[in-house]
Amino acid sequence: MSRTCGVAVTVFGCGWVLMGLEILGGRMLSPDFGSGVWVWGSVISIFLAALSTGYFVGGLLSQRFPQGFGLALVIVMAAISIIPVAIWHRTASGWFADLDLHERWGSLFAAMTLFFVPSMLLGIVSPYAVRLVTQDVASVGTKAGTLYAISTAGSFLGCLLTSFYFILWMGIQLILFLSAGALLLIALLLLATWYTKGIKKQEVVTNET
Amino acid sequence: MKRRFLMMAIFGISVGVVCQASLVEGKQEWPIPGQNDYSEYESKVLLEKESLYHYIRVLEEDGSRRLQFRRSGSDYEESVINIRQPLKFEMYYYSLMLAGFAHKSDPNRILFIGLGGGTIPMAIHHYFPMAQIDNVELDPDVVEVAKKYFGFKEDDNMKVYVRDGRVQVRRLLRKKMKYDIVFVDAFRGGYIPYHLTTREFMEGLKAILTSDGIVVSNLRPGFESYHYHRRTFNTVFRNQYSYGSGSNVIVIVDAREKPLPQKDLLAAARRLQKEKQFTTDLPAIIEEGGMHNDYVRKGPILTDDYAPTDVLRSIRRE
Repeated sequence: MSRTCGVAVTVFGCGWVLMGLEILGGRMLSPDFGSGVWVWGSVISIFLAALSTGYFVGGLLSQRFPQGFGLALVIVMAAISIIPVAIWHRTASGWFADLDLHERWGSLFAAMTLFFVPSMLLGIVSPYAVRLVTQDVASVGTKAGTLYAISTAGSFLGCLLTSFYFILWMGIQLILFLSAGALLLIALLLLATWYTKGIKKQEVVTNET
Repeated sequence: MKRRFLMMAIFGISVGVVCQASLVEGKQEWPIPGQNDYSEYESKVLLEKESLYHYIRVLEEDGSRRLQFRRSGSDYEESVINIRQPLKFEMYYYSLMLAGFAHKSDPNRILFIGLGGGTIPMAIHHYFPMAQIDNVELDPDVVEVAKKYFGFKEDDNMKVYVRDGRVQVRRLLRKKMKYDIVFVDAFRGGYIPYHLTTREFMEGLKAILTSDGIVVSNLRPGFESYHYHRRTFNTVFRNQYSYGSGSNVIVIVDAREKPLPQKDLLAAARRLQKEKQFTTDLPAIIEEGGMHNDYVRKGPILTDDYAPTDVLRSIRRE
Protein backbone atom coordinates (compact mmCIF):
# COMPACT_ATOMS: atom_id res chain seq x y z
CA MET A 1 0.00 0.00 0.00
CA SER A 2 1.36 3.37 -0.92
CA ARG A 3 1.71 6.32 1.39
CA THR A 4 -1.23 8.04 -0.30
CA CYS A 5 -3.41 5.01 0.31
CA GLY A 6 -2.37 4.91 3.96
CA VAL A 7 -3.25 8.58 4.38
CA ALA A 8 -6.56 8.06 2.58
CA VAL A 9 -7.52 5.24 4.95
CA THR A 10 -6.47 7.47 7.86
CA VAL A 11 -8.73 10.39 6.91
CA PHE A 12 -11.59 8.00 6.18
CA GLY A 13 -11.32 6.35 9.61
CA CYS A 14 -10.86 9.62 11.49
CA GLY A 15 -13.87 11.14 9.70
CA TRP A 16 -15.89 8.08 10.69
CA VAL A 17 -14.93 8.23 14.36
CA LEU A 18 -15.52 11.99 14.53
CA MET A 19 -19.13 11.81 13.42
CA GLY A 20 -19.80 8.64 15.37
CA LEU A 21 -18.64 10.54 18.45
CA GLU A 22 -20.93 13.44 17.62
CA ILE A 23 -23.97 11.19 17.34
CA LEU A 24 -23.12 9.55 20.66
CA GLY A 25 -22.54 13.01 22.15
CA GLY A 26 -26.22 13.87 22.00
CA ARG A 27 -27.13 10.60 23.65
CA MET A 28 -24.51 10.95 26.36
CA LEU A 29 -25.90 14.33 27.41
CA SER A 30 -29.64 13.68 27.18
CA PRO A 31 -29.96 11.80 30.51
CA ASP A 32 -28.96 14.99 32.29
CA PHE A 33 -30.05 17.71 29.91
CA GLY A 34 -32.93 16.17 28.01
CA SER A 35 -33.12 15.61 24.30
CA GLY A 36 -34.16 19.08 23.31
CA VAL A 37 -32.66 21.31 20.65
CA TRP A 38 -30.19 22.77 23.13
CA VAL A 39 -28.40 19.50 23.61
CA TRP A 40 -27.92 18.98 19.89
CA GLY A 41 -27.06 22.64 19.45
CA SER A 42 -24.40 22.37 22.17
CA VAL A 43 -22.87 19.20 20.79
CA ILE A 44 -22.73 20.41 17.19
CA SER A 45 -21.38 23.85 18.04
CA ILE A 46 -18.67 22.44 20.30
CA PHE A 47 -17.63 20.01 17.58
CA LEU A 48 -17.43 22.88 15.09
CA ALA A 49 -15.42 25.06 17.46
CA ALA A 50 -13.08 22.15 18.11
CA LEU A 51 -12.71 21.40 14.40
CA SER A 52 -11.99 25.03 13.67
CA THR A 53 -9.22 24.98 16.26
CA GLY A 54 -8.00 21.60 15.04
CA TYR A 55 -7.76 22.69 11.40
CA PHE A 56 -5.68 25.68 12.40
CA VAL A 57 -3.36 23.71 14.66
CA GLY A 58 -3.15 20.92 12.07
CA GLY A 59 -1.95 23.36 9.44
CA LEU A 60 0.79 24.67 11.72
CA LEU A 61 1.90 21.21 12.81
CA SER A 62 2.06 19.91 9.25
CA GLN A 63 4.43 22.71 8.33
CA ARG A 64 6.72 21.95 11.26
CA PHE A 65 6.71 18.15 11.08
CA PRO A 66 5.66 16.97 7.61
CA GLN A 67 6.10 13.33 8.64
CA GLY A 68 3.78 10.36 8.95
CA PHE A 69 4.97 9.93 12.50
CA GLY A 70 3.58 13.32 13.57
CA LEU A 71 0.12 12.54 12.24
CA ALA A 72 0.17 9.06 13.77
CA LEU A 73 1.01 10.60 17.12
CA VAL A 74 -1.95 12.99 16.88
CA ILE A 75 -4.25 10.06 16.13
CA VAL A 76 -2.91 8.07 19.08
CA MET A 77 -3.58 11.08 21.30
CA ALA A 78 -7.13 11.29 19.94
CA ALA A 79 -7.62 7.61 20.76
CA ILE A 80 -6.35 8.14 24.29
CA SER A 81 -8.57 11.21 24.76
CA ILE A 82 -11.68 9.17 24.00
CA ILE A 83 -11.05 6.74 26.87
CA PRO A 84 -11.79 9.12 29.78
CA VAL A 85 -14.92 10.24 27.92
CA ALA A 86 -16.07 6.61 27.75
CA ILE A 87 -15.40 6.04 31.45
CA TRP A 88 -16.49 9.31 33.05
CA HIS A 89 -19.08 10.93 30.79
CA ARG A 90 -21.94 10.14 33.21
CA THR A 91 -20.05 11.60 36.14
CA ALA A 92 -19.03 14.71 34.22
CA SER A 93 -22.44 15.54 32.76
CA GLY A 94 -24.09 14.80 36.12
CA TRP A 95 -21.72 17.26 37.75
CA PHE A 96 -22.65 19.98 35.28
CA ALA A 97 -26.35 19.18 35.66
CA ASP A 98 -26.08 19.67 39.43
CA LEU A 99 -24.65 23.16 38.95
CA ASP A 100 -28.27 24.04 38.16
CA LEU A 101 -27.45 26.28 35.25
CA HIS A 102 -30.04 26.67 32.56
CA GLU A 103 -30.04 23.44 30.50
CA ARG A 104 -28.53 25.15 27.50
CA TRP A 105 -25.45 26.34 29.41
CA GLY A 106 -25.12 23.13 31.37
CA SER A 107 -25.18 21.08 28.20
CA LEU A 108 -22.80 23.45 26.44
CA PHE A 109 -20.19 23.26 29.21
CA ALA A 110 -20.58 19.51 29.53
CA ALA A 111 -20.19 19.12 25.77
CA MET A 112 -17.10 21.31 25.85
CA THR A 113 -15.51 19.33 28.64
CA LEU A 114 -16.26 15.97 27.08
CA PHE A 115 -15.87 16.49 23.36
CA PHE A 116 -13.60 19.44 22.69
CA VAL A 117 -10.27 17.65 23.03
CA PRO A 118 -11.01 14.50 20.99
CA SER A 119 -12.73 16.40 18.19
CA MET A 120 -10.00 19.04 18.13
CA LEU A 121 -7.37 16.31 17.76
CA LEU A 122 -9.38 14.69 14.97
CA GLY A 123 -9.69 18.10 13.31
CA ILE A 124 -5.89 18.25 13.03
CA VAL A 125 -5.94 15.20 10.77
CA SER A 126 -7.33 16.69 7.53
CA PRO A 127 -4.90 19.58 6.89
CA TYR A 128 -2.03 17.42 8.12
CA ALA A 129 -3.00 14.68 5.68
CA VAL A 130 -3.12 17.16 2.79
CA ARG A 131 0.41 18.21 3.54
CA LEU A 132 1.62 14.61 3.70
CA VAL A 133 0.36 13.67 0.25
CA THR A 134 1.35 16.90 -1.47
CA GLN A 135 4.43 16.86 -3.66
CA ASP A 136 3.81 19.92 -5.76
CA VAL A 137 1.62 22.97 -5.79
CA ALA A 138 -0.17 22.12 -9.02
CA SER A 139 -1.79 18.99 -7.60
CA VAL A 140 -2.55 20.30 -4.13
CA GLY A 141 -6.15 21.22 -4.96
CA THR A 142 -6.89 17.78 -6.37
CA LYS A 143 -5.22 16.05 -3.46
CA ALA A 144 -7.00 18.19 -0.88
CA GLY A 145 -10.33 17.74 -2.65
CA THR A 146 -9.91 13.97 -2.81
CA LEU A 147 -8.90 13.70 0.83
CA TYR A 148 -11.79 15.86 1.99
CA ALA A 149 -14.16 13.77 -0.09
CA ILE A 150 -12.83 10.56 1.46
CA SER A 151 -12.85 12.00 4.97
CA THR A 152 -16.42 13.24 4.61
CA ALA A 153 -17.52 9.91 3.14
CA GLY A 154 -16.10 8.36 6.32
CA SER A 155 -18.05 10.88 8.39
CA PHE A 156 -21.18 10.04 6.44
CA LEU A 157 -20.86 6.34 7.20
CA GLY A 158 -19.86 6.92 10.81
CA CYS A 159 -22.87 9.12 11.35
CA LEU A 160 -25.31 6.81 9.60
CA LEU A 161 -24.13 3.47 10.93
CA THR A 162 -23.73 4.71 14.50
CA SER A 163 -27.20 6.19 14.64
CA PHE A 164 -28.94 3.44 12.67
CA TYR A 165 -27.20 0.30 13.88
CA PHE A 166 -24.41 0.58 16.42
CA ILE A 167 -26.62 2.01 19.16
CA LEU A 168 -28.98 -0.88 18.54
CA TRP A 169 -26.22 -3.45 18.84
CA MET A 170 -24.17 -2.19 21.76
CA GLY A 171 -23.78 0.35 24.53
CA ILE A 172 -22.29 3.81 24.18
CA GLN A 173 -19.25 2.87 26.23
CA LEU A 174 -18.41 -0.11 24.06
CA ILE A 175 -18.76 1.95 20.86
CA LEU A 176 -16.37 4.52 22.34
CA PHE A 177 -13.79 1.89 23.28
CA LEU A 178 -14.04 0.36 19.81
CA SER A 179 -13.58 3.81 18.27
CA ALA A 180 -10.45 4.37 20.33
CA GLY A 181 -9.20 0.93 19.27
CA ALA A 182 -9.94 1.71 15.63
CA LEU A 183 -7.96 4.94 15.87
CA LEU A 184 -4.97 3.08 17.29
CA LEU A 185 -5.11 0.59 14.42
CA ILE A 186 -5.33 3.45 11.93
CA ALA A 187 -2.25 5.08 13.47
CA LEU A 188 -0.36 1.79 13.15
CA LEU A 189 -1.45 1.38 9.54
CA LEU A 190 -0.36 4.92 8.75
CA LEU A 191 3.05 4.29 10.26
CA ALA A 192 3.38 1.01 8.40
CA THR A 193 2.56 2.52 5.02
CA TRP A 194 4.62 5.60 5.64
CA TYR A 195 7.83 3.90 6.64
CA THR A 196 7.84 0.89 4.28
CA LYS A 197 9.73 1.43 1.09
CA GLY A 198 7.01 2.23 -1.36
CA ILE A 199 8.83 5.31 -2.57
CA LYS A 200 9.17 4.19 -6.19
CA LYS A 201 5.48 3.60 -6.56
CA GLN A 202 4.88 6.95 -4.98
CA GLU A 203 7.04 8.61 -7.63
CA VAL A 204 5.06 6.97 -10.42
CA VAL A 205 1.89 8.40 -8.97
CA THR A 206 3.30 11.89 -8.76
CA ASN A 207 4.71 11.79 -12.28
CA GLU A 208 1.28 11.21 -13.66
CA THR A 209 0.05 14.60 -12.60
CA MET B 1 -90.62 54.85 40.34
CA LYS B 2 -90.76 53.52 36.90
CA ARG B 3 -87.03 53.74 36.54
CA ARG B 4 -86.49 51.89 39.81
CA PHE B 5 -88.81 49.16 38.65
CA LEU B 6 -86.88 48.91 35.43
CA MET B 7 -83.59 48.59 37.30
CA MET B 8 -85.03 45.94 39.57
CA ALA B 9 -86.20 44.06 36.54
CA ILE B 10 -82.76 44.27 34.94
CA PHE B 11 -81.18 43.18 38.20
CA GLY B 12 -83.55 40.28 38.43
CA ILE B 13 -82.87 39.14 34.92
CA SER B 14 -79.14 39.41 35.32
CA VAL B 15 -79.25 37.41 38.56
CA GLY B 16 -81.24 34.82 36.70
CA VAL B 17 -78.67 34.71 33.90
CA VAL B 18 -75.79 34.41 36.35
CA CYS B 19 -77.56 31.62 38.19
CA GLN B 20 -78.18 29.78 34.99
CA ALA B 21 -74.59 30.23 33.91
CA SER B 22 -73.33 28.83 37.17
CA LEU B 23 -75.76 25.97 36.85
CA VAL B 24 -74.27 25.12 33.50
CA GLU B 25 -70.83 25.42 35.01
CA GLY B 26 -71.81 23.18 37.86
CA LYS B 27 -72.78 20.55 35.34
CA GLN B 28 -69.60 21.03 33.40
CA GLU B 29 -66.37 19.84 34.98
CA TRP B 30 -64.15 22.58 33.64
CA PRO B 31 -64.79 25.17 30.94
CA ILE B 32 -63.24 24.63 27.53
CA PRO B 33 -62.51 27.96 25.84
CA GLY B 34 -64.72 28.63 22.82
CA GLN B 35 -67.08 25.77 23.55
CA ASN B 36 -70.14 27.95 22.94
CA ASP B 37 -69.13 28.72 19.36
CA TYR B 38 -68.67 25.07 18.68
CA SER B 39 -70.82 23.54 15.98
CA GLU B 40 -71.40 19.79 15.86
CA TYR B 41 -71.47 19.71 12.11
CA GLU B 42 -68.21 21.38 11.42
CA SER B 43 -64.81 19.82 11.48
CA LYS B 44 -61.97 22.28 11.50
CA VAL B 45 -58.30 22.76 12.16
CA LEU B 46 -57.88 25.23 15.02
CA LEU B 47 -54.11 25.37 15.01
CA GLU B 48 -51.21 24.13 12.98
CA LYS B 49 -47.83 25.04 14.29
CA GLU B 50 -44.24 23.99 14.21
CA SER B 51 -42.99 24.19 17.79
CA LEU B 52 -39.49 23.65 19.10
CA TYR B 53 -40.11 19.92 19.34
CA HIS B 54 -43.18 18.97 17.36
CA TYR B 55 -45.39 19.72 14.44
CA ILE B 56 -48.55 20.46 16.40
CA ARG B 57 -52.12 20.27 15.12
CA VAL B 58 -55.32 20.96 17.02
CA LEU B 59 -58.50 19.68 15.39
CA GLU B 60 -62.12 20.00 16.30
CA GLU B 61 -64.56 17.34 15.15
CA ASP B 62 -67.36 15.09 16.37
CA GLY B 63 -67.73 16.96 19.63
CA SER B 64 -64.09 16.75 20.60
CA ARG B 65 -60.80 18.57 20.31
CA ARG B 66 -57.70 16.63 19.34
CA LEU B 67 -54.05 17.44 19.88
CA GLN B 68 -51.80 15.70 17.36
CA PHE B 69 -48.07 15.54 16.81
CA ARG B 70 -46.94 14.66 13.33
CA ARG B 71 -44.03 12.34 12.77
CA SER B 72 -43.01 10.44 9.64
CA GLY B 73 -46.16 11.43 7.81
CA SER B 74 -48.56 10.23 10.51
CA ASP B 75 -50.44 12.34 12.99
CA TYR B 76 -50.23 10.81 16.43
CA GLU B 77 -53.09 11.58 18.75
CA GLU B 78 -51.67 12.88 22.03
CA SER B 79 -54.83 14.20 23.67
CA VAL B 80 -58.54 14.18 22.94
CA ILE B 81 -61.12 16.03 24.97
CA ASN B 82 -64.90 15.98 24.84
CA ILE B 83 -65.82 19.64 24.41
CA ARG B 84 -69.10 19.50 26.34
CA GLN B 85 -68.15 16.88 28.92
CA PRO B 86 -64.39 16.81 29.51
CA LEU B 87 -64.76 14.01 32.08
CA LYS B 88 -66.25 11.72 29.49
CA PHE B 89 -62.92 10.34 28.39
CA GLU B 90 -62.42 10.11 24.65
CA MET B 91 -59.28 8.00 24.90
CA TYR B 92 -59.63 4.69 26.67
CA TYR B 93 -56.22 4.84 28.27
CA TYR B 94 -57.30 7.89 30.31
CA SER B 95 -59.68 5.57 32.13
CA LEU B 96 -56.97 2.96 32.52
CA MET B 97 -54.72 5.53 34.12
CA LEU B 98 -57.28 6.04 36.88
CA ALA B 99 -56.32 2.51 38.01
CA GLY B 100 -53.48 4.26 39.81
CA PHE B 101 -55.99 5.53 42.36
CA ALA B 102 -57.06 2.01 43.30
CA HIS B 103 -53.43 1.53 44.32
CA LYS B 104 -53.12 4.86 46.09
CA SER B 105 -56.51 6.36 46.83
CA ASP B 106 -55.46 9.24 49.09
CA PRO B 107 -52.64 10.96 47.19
CA ASN B 108 -51.24 14.20 48.55
CA ARG B 109 -48.74 14.94 45.85
CA ILE B 110 -48.90 13.85 42.24
CA LEU B 111 -46.29 14.33 39.53
CA PHE B 112 -47.43 14.18 35.93
CA ILE B 113 -44.73 13.91 33.26
CA GLY B 114 -45.98 14.79 29.77
CA LEU B 115 -48.85 17.26 29.96
CA GLY B 116 -50.29 17.07 26.44
CA GLY B 117 -53.74 18.66 26.50
CA GLY B 118 -53.78 18.33 30.29
CA THR B 119 -57.02 16.35 30.25
CA ILE B 120 -55.93 13.72 32.77
CA PRO B 121 -54.37 16.19 35.24
CA MET B 122 -57.53 18.33 35.07
CA ALA B 123 -59.70 15.27 35.64
CA ILE B 124 -57.55 14.24 38.59
CA HIS B 125 -57.79 17.79 39.90
CA HIS B 126 -61.55 17.51 39.64
CA TYR B 127 -61.75 14.16 41.45
CA PHE B 128 -59.01 14.89 44.00
CA PRO B 129 -59.17 18.67 44.54
CA MET B 130 -56.94 18.52 47.63
CA ALA B 131 -54.04 16.81 45.89
CA GLN B 132 -51.08 18.94 44.78
CA ILE B 133 -50.46 18.18 41.11
CA ASP B 134 -47.11 19.11 39.53
CA ASN B 135 -46.93 18.76 35.78
CA VAL B 136 -43.81 18.64 33.64
CA GLU B 137 -43.99 19.49 29.97
CA LEU B 138 -41.04 19.94 27.65
CA ASP B 139 -42.70 22.04 24.97
CA PRO B 140 -43.89 25.55 25.95
CA ASP B 141 -46.22 25.55 22.93
CA VAL B 142 -47.96 22.42 24.22
CA VAL B 143 -48.66 24.19 27.52
CA GLU B 144 -50.15 27.09 25.54
CA VAL B 145 -52.32 24.68 23.55
CA ALA B 146 -53.52 22.98 26.74
CA LYS B 147 -54.56 26.33 28.17
CA LYS B 148 -56.08 27.77 25.04
CA TYR B 149 -57.91 24.77 23.60
CA PHE B 150 -58.27 22.21 26.39
CA GLY B 151 -59.23 24.41 29.30
CA PHE B 152 -56.15 23.56 31.31
CA LYS B 153 -55.65 25.99 34.19
CA GLU B 154 -52.95 26.50 36.75
CA ASP B 155 -53.87 27.25 40.36
CA ASP B 156 -52.52 26.66 43.86
CA ASN B 157 -52.81 22.90 43.49
CA MET B 158 -51.94 22.68 39.82
CA LYS B 159 -48.52 23.70 38.57
CA VAL B 160 -46.59 23.28 35.33
CA TYR B 161 -42.84 23.14 34.94
CA VAL B 162 -41.74 23.71 31.36
CA ARG B 163 -38.77 21.41 31.32
CA ASP B 164 -37.56 18.00 30.26
CA GLY B 165 -39.03 15.24 32.47
CA ARG B 166 -35.72 13.68 33.31
CA VAL B 167 -34.13 17.01 34.18
CA GLN B 168 -37.09 17.85 36.44
CA VAL B 169 -36.89 14.50 38.25
CA ARG B 170 -33.24 15.17 38.92
CA ARG B 171 -34.12 18.57 40.39
CA LEU B 172 -36.92 17.16 42.54
CA LEU B 173 -34.50 14.56 43.80
CA ARG B 174 -32.09 17.24 44.87
CA LYS B 175 -34.89 19.17 46.59
CA LYS B 176 -35.84 15.89 48.32
CA MET B 177 -39.42 16.15 47.10
CA LYS B 178 -41.64 13.09 47.48
CA TYR B 179 -44.67 12.08 45.46
CA ASP B 180 -47.38 9.52 46.05
CA ILE B 181 -48.06 8.96 42.38
CA VAL B 182 -45.90 9.70 39.36
CA PHE B 183 -47.65 9.44 36.00
CA VAL B 184 -45.37 9.03 33.00
CA ASP B 185 -47.15 9.84 29.75
CA ALA B 186 -44.46 11.57 27.69
CA PHE B 187 -44.61 10.80 24.01
CA ARG B 188 -43.04 12.33 21.00
CA GLY B 189 -45.31 11.29 18.16
CA GLY B 190 -45.77 7.60 18.93
CA TYR B 191 -42.67 6.84 20.94
CA ILE B 192 -41.17 7.60 24.34
CA PRO B 193 -37.90 9.57 24.30
CA TYR B 194 -35.18 7.09 25.24
CA HIS B 195 -33.88 8.92 28.30
CA LEU B 196 -37.33 8.44 29.91
CA THR B 197 -37.08 4.66 29.56
CA THR B 198 -33.79 3.74 31.16
CA ARG B 199 -32.99 2.06 34.46
CA GLU B 200 -31.29 5.23 35.71
CA PHE B 201 -34.47 7.23 35.07
CA MET B 202 -36.58 4.64 36.87
CA GLU B 203 -34.19 4.71 39.83
CA GLY B 204 -34.71 8.49 39.90
CA LEU B 205 -38.47 7.95 39.96
CA LYS B 206 -38.18 5.44 42.75
CA ALA B 207 -36.15 7.92 44.78
CA ILE B 208 -38.85 10.61 44.58
CA LEU B 209 -41.63 8.23 45.63
CA THR B 210 -43.05 7.94 49.11
CA SER B 211 -42.62 4.48 50.65
CA ASP B 212 -45.92 3.21 49.25
CA GLY B 213 -45.85 5.44 46.18
CA ILE B 214 -46.44 4.21 42.65
CA VAL B 215 -45.40 4.97 39.10
CA VAL B 216 -48.16 4.82 36.50
CA SER B 217 -46.76 4.49 33.02
CA ASN B 218 -48.47 4.52 29.63
CA LEU B 219 -46.82 1.98 27.30
CA ARG B 220 -47.45 0.74 23.78
CA PRO B 221 -47.44 -3.08 23.68
CA GLY B 222 -47.40 -3.09 19.86
CA PHE B 223 -43.73 -2.22 19.86
CA GLU B 224 -40.66 -4.25 20.68
CA SER B 225 -39.59 -1.58 23.20
CA TYR B 226 -42.55 -2.54 25.43
CA HIS B 227 -40.77 -5.69 26.57
CA TYR B 228 -37.51 -3.84 27.18
CA HIS B 229 -39.39 -1.24 29.18
CA ARG B 230 -41.11 -3.77 31.40
CA ARG B 231 -37.98 -5.81 31.97
CA THR B 232 -36.25 -2.59 33.00
CA PHE B 233 -39.07 -1.76 35.44
CA ASN B 234 -38.61 -5.23 36.83
CA THR B 235 -34.99 -4.55 37.79
CA VAL B 236 -35.91 -1.41 39.76
CA PHE B 237 -39.37 -2.01 41.25
CA ARG B 238 -40.54 -5.08 43.11
CA ASN B 239 -44.13 -5.29 41.90
CA GLN B 240 -45.68 -4.71 38.51
CA TYR B 241 -49.36 -4.58 37.61
CA SER B 242 -50.81 -3.97 34.17
CA TYR B 243 -54.17 -2.74 32.98
CA GLY B 244 -55.69 -2.83 29.51
CA SER B 245 -54.83 -4.92 26.52
CA GLY B 246 -55.38 -2.69 23.50
CA SER B 247 -52.92 -0.30 21.89
CA ASN B 248 -52.06 1.14 25.32
CA VAL B 249 -51.22 -0.80 28.44
CA ILE B 250 -50.96 1.03 31.73
CA VAL B 251 -48.20 -0.42 33.86
CA ILE B 252 -48.18 0.39 37.56
CA VAL B 253 -45.12 -0.36 39.65
CA ASP B 254 -44.34 -0.05 43.33
CA ALA B 255 -41.56 -1.00 45.71
CA ARG B 256 -43.70 -2.54 48.47
CA GLU B 257 -42.50 -5.62 50.33
CA LYS B 258 -45.47 -7.58 49.07
CA PRO B 259 -47.76 -6.89 46.13
CA LEU B 260 -51.20 -5.48 46.89
CA PRO B 261 -53.76 -8.30 46.72
CA GLN B 262 -56.29 -7.83 43.97
CA LYS B 263 -59.22 -8.00 46.37
CA ASP B 264 -57.91 -4.95 48.23
CA LEU B 265 -57.45 -3.09 44.96
CA LEU B 266 -60.95 -4.03 43.92
CA ALA B 267 -62.41 -2.90 47.24
CA ALA B 268 -60.59 0.43 46.90
CA ALA B 269 -61.84 0.80 43.33
CA ARG B 270 -65.45 0.12 44.37
CA ARG B 271 -65.23 2.60 47.21
CA LEU B 272 -63.75 5.27 44.95
CA GLN B 273 -66.27 4.63 42.21
CA LYS B 274 -69.09 5.24 44.68
CA GLU B 275 -67.46 8.33 46.11
CA LYS B 276 -66.19 9.99 42.91
CA GLN B 277 -68.72 8.77 40.35
CA PHE B 278 -66.09 8.25 37.66
CA THR B 279 -67.52 8.25 34.15
CA THR B 280 -65.65 4.99 33.61
CA ASP B 281 -66.07 1.69 35.40
CA LEU B 282 -62.94 1.58 37.53
CA PRO B 283 -63.75 -1.70 39.34
CA ALA B 284 -64.12 -3.43 35.94
CA ILE B 285 -60.70 -2.15 34.87
CA ILE B 286 -59.13 -3.41 38.09
CA GLU B 287 -60.87 -6.75 37.77
CA GLU B 288 -59.49 -7.34 34.29
CA GLY B 289 -55.99 -6.17 35.16
CA GLY B 290 -53.51 -7.43 37.67
CA MET B 291 -50.05 -8.87 37.85
CA HIS B 292 -49.93 -10.28 34.35
CA ASN B 293 -46.50 -10.95 33.06
CA ASP B 294 -47.53 -10.40 29.48
CA TYR B 295 -44.05 -9.54 28.27
CA VAL B 296 -40.95 -11.39 27.20
CA ARG B 297 -39.08 -11.84 30.47
CA LYS B 298 -35.68 -12.72 29.06
CA GLY B 299 -33.63 -10.17 27.23
CA PRO B 300 -31.64 -6.98 27.58
CA ILE B 301 -32.80 -4.03 29.67
CA LEU B 302 -32.52 -0.32 28.91
CA THR B 303 -29.80 1.78 30.51
CA ASP B 304 -28.34 5.19 29.80
CA ASP B 305 -25.48 3.35 28.14
CA TYR B 306 -27.63 1.03 26.05
CA ALA B 307 -31.09 2.27 25.10
CA PRO B 308 -31.98 1.71 21.48
CA THR B 309 -35.65 2.53 22.08
CA ASP B 310 -35.90 5.12 19.37
CA VAL B 311 -34.74 2.43 17.00
CA LEU B 312 -36.87 -0.26 18.61
CA ARG B 313 -39.99 1.85 18.34
CA SER B 314 -40.17 1.09 14.66
CA ILE B 315 -40.01 -2.66 15.16
CA ARG B 316 -43.49 -4.03 15.54
CA ARG B 317 -43.97 -7.15 17.57
CA GLU B 318 -45.31 -10.19 15.75
